[in-house]
Amino acid sequence: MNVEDELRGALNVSAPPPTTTLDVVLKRGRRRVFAQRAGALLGVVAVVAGIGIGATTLNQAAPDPAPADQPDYGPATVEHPLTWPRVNTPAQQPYGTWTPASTAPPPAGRPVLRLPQCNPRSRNLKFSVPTGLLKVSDNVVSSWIAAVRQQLPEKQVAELTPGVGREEYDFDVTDSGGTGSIRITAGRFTGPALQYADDNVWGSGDCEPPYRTVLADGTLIQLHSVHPFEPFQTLVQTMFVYRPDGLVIQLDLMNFGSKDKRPDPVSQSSWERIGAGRPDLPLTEEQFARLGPAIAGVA
Amino acid sequence: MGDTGVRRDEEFSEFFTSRFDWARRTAYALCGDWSEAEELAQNAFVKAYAKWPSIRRETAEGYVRTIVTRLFLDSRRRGRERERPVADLPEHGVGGGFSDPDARLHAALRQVAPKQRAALVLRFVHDLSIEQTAAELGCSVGNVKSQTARGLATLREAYGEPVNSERDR
Repeated sequence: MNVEDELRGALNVSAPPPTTTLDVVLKRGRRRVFAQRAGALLGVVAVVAGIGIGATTLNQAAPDPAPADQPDYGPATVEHPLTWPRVNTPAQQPYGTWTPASTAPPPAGRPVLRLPQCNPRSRNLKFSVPTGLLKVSDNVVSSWIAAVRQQLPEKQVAELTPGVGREEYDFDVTDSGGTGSIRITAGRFTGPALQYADDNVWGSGDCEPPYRTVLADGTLIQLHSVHPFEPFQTLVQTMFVYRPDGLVIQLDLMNFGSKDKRPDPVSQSSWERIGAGRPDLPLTEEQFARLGPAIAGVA
Repeated sequence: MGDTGVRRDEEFSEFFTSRFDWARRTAYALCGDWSEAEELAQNAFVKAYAKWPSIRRETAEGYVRTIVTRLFLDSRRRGRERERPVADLPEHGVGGGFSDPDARLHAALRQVAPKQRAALVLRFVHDLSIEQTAAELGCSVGNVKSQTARGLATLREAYGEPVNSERDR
């Protein structure tokens, strides 16, 4: 028997009888609930007071209204909201909010994002070739990057980052806010795209149902929520493209680029993070969503 | 306490009765000390009680396992080193006087760094996928792979097994 098999039986050991009783847990649990409610009440009072003070201060500090003879006065920003609907299913209840580990916190001065955390659910349907195991020709990868450049003229999209032996295709995306990156991996599935997309609705641990759109040719695109990871409060947003021909393409949008990682000296087949990257993702949801249909049309 | 409170306590009691020992054994696999395992499992159930109305019954087990794992890692990050890694494996059980026939495995596990140990326990003891392990540990898939590979190498060395077993899946 090897050590992995030994591990699989590690719970079946002789154990001393437990000393914790249900009573003890219930008493401590009720005290905790009471403390949380008291804390929440105090928080509400503090927020109300803060809003009052803030409103007063902002009122006094507000700039003069725009002059009527200068219609272009002030910054010209246009935001395009994502118009895809969310999958019609109830949201998951978060079990808590993101807390970075003390060993790899975000850099000093970068606020901790208190993003809600929900448990991922296992997928029942396995891809016949999992994403990341399907080798894609150089021509297709080049076409993917060209399609990304075409969709994002406002960004600098770099060439392919040299890989570390896996079928992952990474490239940097840069703007004035810094450098992030996109990873594209591909796989195969057998059966209707909708079945796989439904099966994977909660596979990433989203709390809100993902956004979804279906193209005229039957390609189904599903955009999941942003998730924080260690180290350094890494941010990743994932989009799956399920094509009717059984090709599945996974796009991961990340807040770090090639200069923030190096090949892991131990495993040699994965990356080791050395930099925190930028504080936010390099694309908005709408910008990222543009890439789904564009990538789907390649290959 | 109203009807809601009574129902909450009833459901939670049923869950506690069926899963406390499981949580305690999971904690023991992580920390290798029954008294600390008891404390970790108890704290996890206290937290679960406070969140019980928002926990779905089918995910409650995973919720408690995540808390146990994170409490264990937090305790190690804070430097609460109850365990004392030893250069050589003891020839007899180390379960605080309790006769533990699996002492060799657990003693070998204690040679593995806490985060790597957590990855091994989730991957092999609980048979979670790499993605599920990453979600429970709050880290990337790549990080889980490297932690698992390193943890297995250390464990095999401590266990005295030649390096010929399966690679990370």
